[in-house]
Amino acid sequence: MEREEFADFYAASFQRLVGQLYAMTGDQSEAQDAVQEAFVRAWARRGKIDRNGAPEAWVRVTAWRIAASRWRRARDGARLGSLTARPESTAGPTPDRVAFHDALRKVPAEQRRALVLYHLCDLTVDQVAAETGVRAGTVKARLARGRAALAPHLRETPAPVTE
Amino acid sequence: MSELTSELRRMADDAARQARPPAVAEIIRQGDRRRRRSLTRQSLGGLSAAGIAGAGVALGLGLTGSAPAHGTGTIRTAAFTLVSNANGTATLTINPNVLLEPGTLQSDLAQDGIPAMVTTGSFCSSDPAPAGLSQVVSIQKSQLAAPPPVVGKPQQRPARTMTINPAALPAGTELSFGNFQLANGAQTSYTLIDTGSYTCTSTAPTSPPADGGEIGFSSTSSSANTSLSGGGPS
Repeated sequence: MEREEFADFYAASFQRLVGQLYAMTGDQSEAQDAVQEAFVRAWARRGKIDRNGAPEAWVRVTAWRIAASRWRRARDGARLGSLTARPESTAGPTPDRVAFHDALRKVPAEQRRALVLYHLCDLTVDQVAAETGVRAGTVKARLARGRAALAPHLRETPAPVTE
Repeated sequence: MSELTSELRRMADDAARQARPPAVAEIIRQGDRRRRRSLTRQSLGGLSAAGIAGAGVALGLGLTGSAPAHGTGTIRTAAFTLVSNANGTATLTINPNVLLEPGTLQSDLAQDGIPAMVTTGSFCSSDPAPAGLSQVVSIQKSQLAAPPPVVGKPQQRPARTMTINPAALPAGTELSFGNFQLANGAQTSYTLIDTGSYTCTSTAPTSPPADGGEIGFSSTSSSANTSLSGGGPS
């Protein structure tokens, strides 16, 4: 990937990826930091990205790993509490939406990641499985559990998972 | 669209709007630094000696091999050898007997954290040229002996070497290399350019650029001489 191509890719996808990571992590600054660091690694290892052929997915996976790694490191400290219980500064204006965001933040991380990849990033179950490194059955189970946890905060029942 | 999808999308869109992407140049600079450190670690892992030996072979043989050999911080092609040094600089040896492949050199320099524009048949420069070339490029003064003449074949000219320090590149600048095949041999001119303002010409400079230099070839007699000259502030 040449410099100009990378600049175009960065400009086109940075904010979208921050949005996706935010939905996965529930933390705006963590999402921005992780995506930024993932892009630095992407440029440093651009040969690998060229071979991979899916740069946006590569950056998203890398950003998730960075965020998850920081999360794990913070597990024994106060940071985890702040990540999971931080009041949402970007929450929508309605109480319903605030409740939805709070509920989403309480969904276990891997379920939340599956929900975001499937419902927000429009990946298929198989693609989610490939990106998260688990079997399709595990993805379906995570989606079902995540949706069940969110169901009380949604007016409609989500459609069943399709392949 | 399901309600869940709508909610997630709204949430992500809000966060995306608040995101403040740093300048891509900063991301690239950090990535280049990361890559140099990684190459340095690889070199220090016991392979640096092999890399230096490889560079020596390339200098001596000049025309050996045509495929780039990537590995331990040394990239070797028939036209040039690029060695990543542990201190963050890179040593570039250009073989004046072989036409440069501009894309290959440009991309390999970029992977070493050296932003450069490499062209053949044209040369790009800024007017005025940014100051600081002498801090970025230093020419190895020692002369390498030309390979012994072979009857029936043109005289081979010795390879020439420069050390490039990307950390000294002023912001908003990059190196420009213009390679020309002239009647009397190859010539590579180089200078610093302002990435926001430069022009390119298809005419080979007849003398080293005012703020640049040349790795070139001139022949005033039957024997070939390699000229290597640098202009600009020293």
